[in-house]
Amino acid sequence: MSEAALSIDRLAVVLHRNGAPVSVLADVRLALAPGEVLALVGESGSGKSTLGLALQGLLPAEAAPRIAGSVRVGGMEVVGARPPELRMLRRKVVRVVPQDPMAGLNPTMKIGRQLAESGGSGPTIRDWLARTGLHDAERILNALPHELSGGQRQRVLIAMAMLARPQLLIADEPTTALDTTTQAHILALLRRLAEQCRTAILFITHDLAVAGSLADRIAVLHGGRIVETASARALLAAPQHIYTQRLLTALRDVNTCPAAPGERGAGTALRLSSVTKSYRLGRQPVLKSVNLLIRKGECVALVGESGAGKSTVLRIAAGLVAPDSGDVARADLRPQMVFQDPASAFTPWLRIGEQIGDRLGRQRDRHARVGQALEWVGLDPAMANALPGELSLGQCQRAALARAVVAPPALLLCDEPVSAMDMPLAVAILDLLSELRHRLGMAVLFVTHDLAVARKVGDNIAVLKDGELVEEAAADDLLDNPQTDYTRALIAAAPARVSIR
Amino acid sequence: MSGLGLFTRTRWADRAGLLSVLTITLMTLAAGVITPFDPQSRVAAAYLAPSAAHWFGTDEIGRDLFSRVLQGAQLTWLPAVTVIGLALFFGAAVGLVSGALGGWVDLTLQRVVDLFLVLPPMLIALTVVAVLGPGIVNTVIALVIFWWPWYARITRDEVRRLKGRPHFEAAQLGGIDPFCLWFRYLLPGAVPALVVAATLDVANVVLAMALMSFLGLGQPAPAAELGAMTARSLESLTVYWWLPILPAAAVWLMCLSANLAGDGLRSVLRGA
Repeated sequence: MSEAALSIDRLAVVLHRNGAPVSVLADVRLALAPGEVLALVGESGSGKSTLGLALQGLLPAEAAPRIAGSVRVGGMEVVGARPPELRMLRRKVVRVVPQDPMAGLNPTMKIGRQLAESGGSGPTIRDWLARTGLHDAERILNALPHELSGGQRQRVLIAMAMLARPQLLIADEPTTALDTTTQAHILALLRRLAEQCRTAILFITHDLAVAGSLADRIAVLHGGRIVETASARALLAAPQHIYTQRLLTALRDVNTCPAAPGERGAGTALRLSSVTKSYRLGRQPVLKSVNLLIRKGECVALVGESGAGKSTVLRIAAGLVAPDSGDVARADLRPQMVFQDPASAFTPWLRIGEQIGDRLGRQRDRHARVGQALEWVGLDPAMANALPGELSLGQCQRAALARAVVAPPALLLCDEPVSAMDMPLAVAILDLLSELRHRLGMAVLFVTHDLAVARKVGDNIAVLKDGELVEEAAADDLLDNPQTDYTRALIAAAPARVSIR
Repeated sequence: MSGLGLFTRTRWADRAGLLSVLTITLMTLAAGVITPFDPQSRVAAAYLAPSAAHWFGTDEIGRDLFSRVLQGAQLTWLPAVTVIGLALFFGAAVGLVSGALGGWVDLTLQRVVDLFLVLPPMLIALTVVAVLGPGIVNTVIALVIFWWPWYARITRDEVRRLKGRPHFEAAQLGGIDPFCLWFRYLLPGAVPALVVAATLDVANVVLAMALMSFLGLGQPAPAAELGAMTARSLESLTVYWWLPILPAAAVWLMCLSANLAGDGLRSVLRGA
């Protein structure tokens, strides 16, 4: 048996933020054998990305990092190594598959050239493209990054990383930007590569379900310390540490709590009749004759892969985009919307309170109503004076909900509002959403690519594929008894999350 | 975040630029009071070299050169700032309307902007001055005509960019009245780009004005204009070096300060 691919011993990292030292990692111990897949699970802020950077000797110099302990990758000590050694390490020994595949590629350079720069001759490049599931090598090599799909880009990056035959592959949330089906393919590919090439994989994720479906072992990082390491099966079946138990409870919560049915009135909140839309003349239409009915107080979850047209349905429902043909009927002139990335959904130079209050015009009780809306979403009314940049992700999404309901709409539109969040936060936001929905009697159209989330929030689930609704049914019926092959495939592709009960 | 906090976090070169822009503005505003001698009258012998009494020496008829350079700076710097201010006002207004409304309004206004952008700048300035006659007001008008379309284009592009962002879509869905939507949710987003461009442009206007006066299209004779002072004394460069060099150095200093300040503002506004 050769040496361990990675061994971390008592690693501690202190970074400086605004001059003050912050202990980011403490007493981290971890070992990976060649060919092993270890998932490092933690919430945002737990230090998992810092650990990934420390393994490559890439801690940001402006944070004046202080490192203690030892990190050995493929027999080479990283802590205290000189820059040329670190460059060699990053070229040959440790390779990374980044979270955002577009950021990992040079947008102005053809894929073929980027692969060649990463080392490797023509035949080996083609070989690796084939092994990562990209079979029309000619087209891929001559393409620019934007001409490929997200899944294809991620495969290219995996091929690029594997060209160097590294001993350790760090995958930093490589599938968060991908839809469920593509995610399942990429995970299977990584699994296969670890077995065939004896490459150890450190898989960084916030998603316990993804970790469980991929890894041999799971290490849970919390507050800069590894609180629990165990085989994936053992950890999911019998978590020892209280934090792991909390993560698992949140996961189960999403799976087993179906939405309490809202008070459905007789009226219609939104009706789309034979709506079509194509963005450019002569192009394949984005929506082909979509019919959708949402009654007052009802929540419909719209699921589908990326590119299915989910966002277009939402924008047509909001009135931001006009359909080419078909009718849109809304109960209320002003539906409100909650966006995927709450940080970019607030105008950066205006205070939170101003942006919420502008919805009310010049009403006299404006200040009080803004405070009340903030209280509804569990924020301190004093938060009204904050700028959007000062809020955390969760606070920001709560503020976005407050803005949406300060003048309660009959219809609330949600565009993947929790897809960027880790599980406990996502559950908290979804609970808040359903509480607001019942309190204010709103109908909700909730777009998501995540079936488990759809089941949690939706009374009904509608499945969209290539611009057509292929199936719509009550949430539990649809997941337990899918009628179309496409829905069955979606359910099968979802990570363990849906099946964990 | 306080203005002082922003200031202390900038690099020394940025700080020097911002400080000297402030100093130049104050000095030119107070030029009438702080000039040691009357810039228009004979106060000593001609062609005196720089000394403690006359810091920049005296010119061909014995006028104090330091006083004349200070007055020249006043006649260049303040109009330059005025030109940029007026160009910003008109440019931002046209750009905001064009970007916010879009459609045929945008198309029409942008073709008008194109029309102005392709005009050769010095030719326009010279023509306007030739037609209206030399003088500070006419120079300012000529330069504003040339400069506003640049700011219209910048504002329009920034506004178009912001219109596609989720935060503007969110504001649109809020049923906020259009006036508020434009001035609170769109225009402030264009301010950083405009401020940076404008500060850098002050240097260009200073140069353009010096050039016009060098070519004899500035203010009529007795006025102490930096370009004209350099032009008149250029042939005596090897003998009385201070006569052409020191006014030219004043132009150089103003341009350098404006450029450094522009860079400084850029790093503050982009980084913050």
